[in-house]
Amino acid sequence: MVLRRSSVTTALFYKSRETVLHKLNPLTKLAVILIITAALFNTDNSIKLAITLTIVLILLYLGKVLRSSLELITTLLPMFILLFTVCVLSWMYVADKPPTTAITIATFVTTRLIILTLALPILYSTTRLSDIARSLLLLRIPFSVVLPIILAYRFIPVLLKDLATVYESQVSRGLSFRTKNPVKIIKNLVPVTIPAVIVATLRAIDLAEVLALRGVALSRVRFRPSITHYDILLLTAVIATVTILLIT
Amino acid sequence: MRNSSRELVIEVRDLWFRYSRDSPWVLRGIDLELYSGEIVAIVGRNGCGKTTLIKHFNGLLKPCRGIVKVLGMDTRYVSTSELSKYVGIVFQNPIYQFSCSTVFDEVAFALKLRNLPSDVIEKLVNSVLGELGIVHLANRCPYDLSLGEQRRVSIASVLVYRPKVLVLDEPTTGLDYRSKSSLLNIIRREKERGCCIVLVTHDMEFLCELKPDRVVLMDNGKVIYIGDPREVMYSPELLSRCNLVEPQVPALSRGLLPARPLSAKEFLSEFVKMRDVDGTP
Repeated sequence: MVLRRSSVTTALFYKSRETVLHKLNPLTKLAVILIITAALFNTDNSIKLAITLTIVLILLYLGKVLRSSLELITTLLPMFILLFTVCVLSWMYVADKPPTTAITIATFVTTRLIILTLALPILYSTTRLSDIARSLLLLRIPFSVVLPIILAYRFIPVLLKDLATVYESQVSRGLSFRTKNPVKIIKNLVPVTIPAVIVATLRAIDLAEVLALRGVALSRVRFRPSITHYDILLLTAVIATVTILLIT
Repeated sequence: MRNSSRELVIEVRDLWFRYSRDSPWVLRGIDLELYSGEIVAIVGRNGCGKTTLIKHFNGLLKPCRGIVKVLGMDTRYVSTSELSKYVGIVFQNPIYQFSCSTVFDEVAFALKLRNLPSDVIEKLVNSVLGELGIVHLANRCPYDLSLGEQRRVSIASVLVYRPKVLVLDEPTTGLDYRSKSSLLNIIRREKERGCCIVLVTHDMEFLCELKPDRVVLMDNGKVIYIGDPREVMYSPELLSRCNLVEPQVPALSRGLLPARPLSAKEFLSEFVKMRDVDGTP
């Protein structure tokens, strides 16, 4: 198992270049992705899918991010194979469809997801994170919603680095993934998954504390102080004292 | 000649490494030999390639150019799990490796991977827990321990299979005085056993107390000095080149004493000697 974190981070993160795509309004790029998504999920025609894929590839080429985006697909290939297999099996054994129909449906589902994954760098690789945040705020999406999205996005490379460190620590103690036995591979994933989850949770707790300290977590709903009689009494006393002091 | 009686455990020849074809070289032509029973400290500024270098010792990273040999085995052709039998690395943050619910299981982890019988595992784990003074923690959860205790558990989990080389990456980070003293004793004991200890650190005060056999000074992916730690500690130019602070004892001794002590104990002994010669009260 080789942890190829570089291709994921390279494809999904901003690359400063002088291209037409970089100069476009982030909202336009967001709209393009939404249109592509809508088109993908409203067609069962392979020609239409091919046309959508061509459009996506042309846009990636124009943004000079085609190579890194294709590397991302290569990295995620095991995930797509897993999805395809699960789809075929579930259509065959759960929905009771013939194998040819199950394979056709699984092919469409996987192809849609691959095209959608390819479409994401149109926005992410050609737009600064701050510009994406500003665009979402322009769309009147509340800051309390935009912030977690941006934080989650920012955390991808951090968590991948943590995962790589956990993996290296365990391999250094003799853990091996060089086996063809799937049961053993899954069993060996446990010592990597447990520390990775704990480290991610600890990071999340730290982040929540930092945000709370900076007042980000405070909202009107959670902190709505009511004015009591004591408040009025104190205010009256202070005002009265100051007035008396000023008059005399 | 000094190393003729000792076994060559790691041999690095003209090692060049970079993470991808587009990135700059992280290691540039490193040559290094490590022998059994010696303590070698690798020091240098952040990002100079120290951790990248030690990851070559157990095959986590493979050289782009050059050769790294562990006990004569070329790391390019041997898996990390195989090399881990001879080279144990303790990473900077212990929590990245804890995957078991008790300290005992955590220390036994590597032995279980090697399919040893349970009675042998129990004997080895109890032995190493006793050596590191953490027997009382055997049934505790590793995540509930203090950083010093966690560090000792992570060292125990590596020492339990008696590697020929023990690599410690920034072992003193966040440790208090007592934990550092405990770490010093562990390192000295392993050296006595014939284990080669490689230490990656910025903690020059700790190095002065430890007095390693050799110091490897790195800058910008290159080794700029290998040799006597006293030469490094008493060379402010070398230290400042690597963004390192001059340790207190050498800073105090320079210009005051003819000898070059590293630890406070050595300083005191030299100072008393000088006072006796001068006859000053």
